[in-house]
Parts: sequence; structure tokens; C-alpha cells
Amino acid sequence: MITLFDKELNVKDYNCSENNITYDKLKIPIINVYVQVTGKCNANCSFCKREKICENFDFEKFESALKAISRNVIIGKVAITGGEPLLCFEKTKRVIKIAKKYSRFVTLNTNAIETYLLDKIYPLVDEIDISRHHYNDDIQNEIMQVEVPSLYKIKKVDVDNKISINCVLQKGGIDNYYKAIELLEYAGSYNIGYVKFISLLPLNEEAKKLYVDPTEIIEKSKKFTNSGMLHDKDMCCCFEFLYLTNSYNTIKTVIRHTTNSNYSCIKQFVFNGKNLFDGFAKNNIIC
Amino acid sequence: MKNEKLDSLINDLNRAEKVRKEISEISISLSDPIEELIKYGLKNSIISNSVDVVYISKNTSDYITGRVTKMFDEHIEKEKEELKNNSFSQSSDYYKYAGIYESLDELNRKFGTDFNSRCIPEGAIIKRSCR
Repeated sequence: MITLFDKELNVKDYNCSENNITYDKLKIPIINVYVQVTGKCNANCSFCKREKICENFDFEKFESALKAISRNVIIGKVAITGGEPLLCFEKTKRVIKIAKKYSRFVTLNTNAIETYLLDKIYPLVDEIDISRHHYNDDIQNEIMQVEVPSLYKIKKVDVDNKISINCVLQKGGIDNYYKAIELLEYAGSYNIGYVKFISLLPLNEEAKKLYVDPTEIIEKSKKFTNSGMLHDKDMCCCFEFLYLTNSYNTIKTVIRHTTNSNYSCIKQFVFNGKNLFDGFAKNNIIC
Repeated sequence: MKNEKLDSLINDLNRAEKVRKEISEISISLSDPIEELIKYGLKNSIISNSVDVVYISKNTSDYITGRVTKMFDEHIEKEKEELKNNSFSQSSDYYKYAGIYESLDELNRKFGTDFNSRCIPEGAIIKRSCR
């Protein structure tokens, strides 16, 4: 339990567990903060829960929220997200600058359509997560309903290997083990060192329709060098492995499987420019 | 469970070794996945003791065994060093703030810190808490 803005909050204060039975309690909880800098997006993924977000970002409130959070917990990372953060470049830059004061790890989630801005934002963040939901450009464009730049073009700016791929598992996209391996081979051919497969959160009807259970992909990936499964009670689990591609590259790979989106504690804070919430479901306003 | 993870690592090491041999024949210099695999194994405690090293050596070539043994030794040395340094830095942190203060404000003013009543550094004694 922590107290934030006069509210008693039950935050996640334990480490994920290998056996899903015993959980190590943390002296100081480690929580991630997600910042939605804009609701606008130049892609149109059907599974995405499009939200109207106040575009007048309250920087002072954001800083005071981070300050208050960091007094109570360790901020594991601040992830800048949206919408598409590169559509409001100056705002994103200012948000990153503030975030850097309170967390050692600041990441940016982007579709990289505004490729020309990537090299400008690149030195300011610690990791850039590019949304890529398929290895085939045509299917990829169909999923995002926009033409996305090639990985070759994106990878050109990646001098410090900060770029990773976020792939949402979905029907018609990456929906089985063999396609997941194809995506890893595709990423490896561009020297991408980190790929995350994420199961869909059933936040809207379309997301429920497209949902793919990643259990089969996880089971079949156990033949690769892996650190095993980490469970977070009945809420989610992650499987991590190191994939050796045919092009002789290694890719750290994580498959994140959310099994229950009704969290029993706060696993992340979300700031949307106006308010701080206790998660993406935005059930409660904290400030 | 432990052996399953080791077997998976051994499979990948052998695969990487095969590619390494093929590549060395056409003399292309690429990244070194064998090192990456061993590093990952050490970092995630898939290789955690000498029994694991022996198990790997029984199932891989001399080349891989040599590299695993060398990196395992270096890893152990590094861990020992870190353990030593950590205990020093923890004690220096302890002494850094040690003392008796009238209030948290006094402590924060002195060190330019932002400690609060829930987070008072070890070694510091506050006579009265300020809220």
C-alpha cells in the first residue's frame, strides 16, 4: 500500500514468480509509468482502443505526478505512447526531458511512419519500440491501414541498437508459431536485437474477435535457449527466450500473455496529459 | 526443468557452432552468437554452477566447452568483485547520511536530497518528523 495524492493505493509490490506459487516481496515497489502524449494517430489498427485525449498536455501536473510517484515507488520505466507520439514532436521532446529526471529508462512507442523524426528523437530515449505486426509489408500495411516504412529505412538510424519490435498477436497477422518464427527471421535480417510479442487486451469488440492465445507459440519456443516463464498471479505471464536466426543473429524475444485484465493491484500508472490513472483501463483517477 | 533449459541452450550452441564453421570457411566476419548464448545462459542462471558446465561439455564440441568454461570463470570472478564493491558502497551510503538531525528538513538541506518520513536513509536519526 502506498499513499499518493491522499489516496491509499494497492500497488504491485512483489517480483513475478517462476513457479506461480511463491512471490518475493519487494522492499520498494517498482512500477512503470505510461504517458499518452496524444490521441491522434496516423495508423488505424482495428484492435486499437482509440481514445479522445486532451491535446493540451499539462506538463506541471505531469511533473508533480512523477515526483509524487518517485517518492513512493521506483519508477522502472517511463514509456511515451499515444496515439502516435511523433505526431507531436515538440511535446514529446518536452515530456521526455521531464521523464528523464525521474526514471533511468525512458522508452518511446511509435509506428515510425514519421521516419524523418526518428533520428532526432533517437538520442533522447533509451529504447524505441516500433509497432510491426507482420513480416509481409502488404499484410502489415493492411493491419495498420497505412503504408509503413521499411525496417531497412528505420534501422539506418539505429547506431546503438535501441530499436526493438512490438508485435501484437492477432488473427490474420502473426497467429501461430511458424509465423512468429518468420517475423523473428525478418527482424534478424535487419539486425534487430529485441522483439516483443504481445497478446491482445480485449478492450473493444474487434480486439476480442482478433484475439490469439499465445500458449502454442510459447510451448513450441521452449526448445530455444530460454529463461522460462514468469507469472504474475492470474493476471499475466511472460516467456523469454533467445532466438538464433538463420542469418546468425541472436534476438531476445518476449511473449507477453495477459490472461486477466482485471488487475488485483496497480501494475502501472497512466498519465494522459490531464490526469493520472491506475492503469490502462482507467478505472480510477489518482490526480 | 533445469536440464530442459540447459538442453535448449546446448541445442542452440551446437547450431551456432555449425554455422560458425561454415562461415569461417568463406571467411565472413559476423556477430558472435555463441558468446551471446553463453552470456544469456549465465545472466539467467541457466548455467549456474560447475555441474552445468560439465553437462554442457559432455554435449558440445571442445571449442564451445572452452568458451563456456572461460566465460563461466570470468562471470564468477566478476560476481565476487561486484559483491565486494556492493558491500563497500552500501556501507559508505550508511555513513554518508549517518547522524542526528533536528528534522528531515535539516537532513534534506544538508545533502540536497528529497527524503520523506517514509524514506529515511539508514544511519540518520530524526529527532522530530516533519510532515
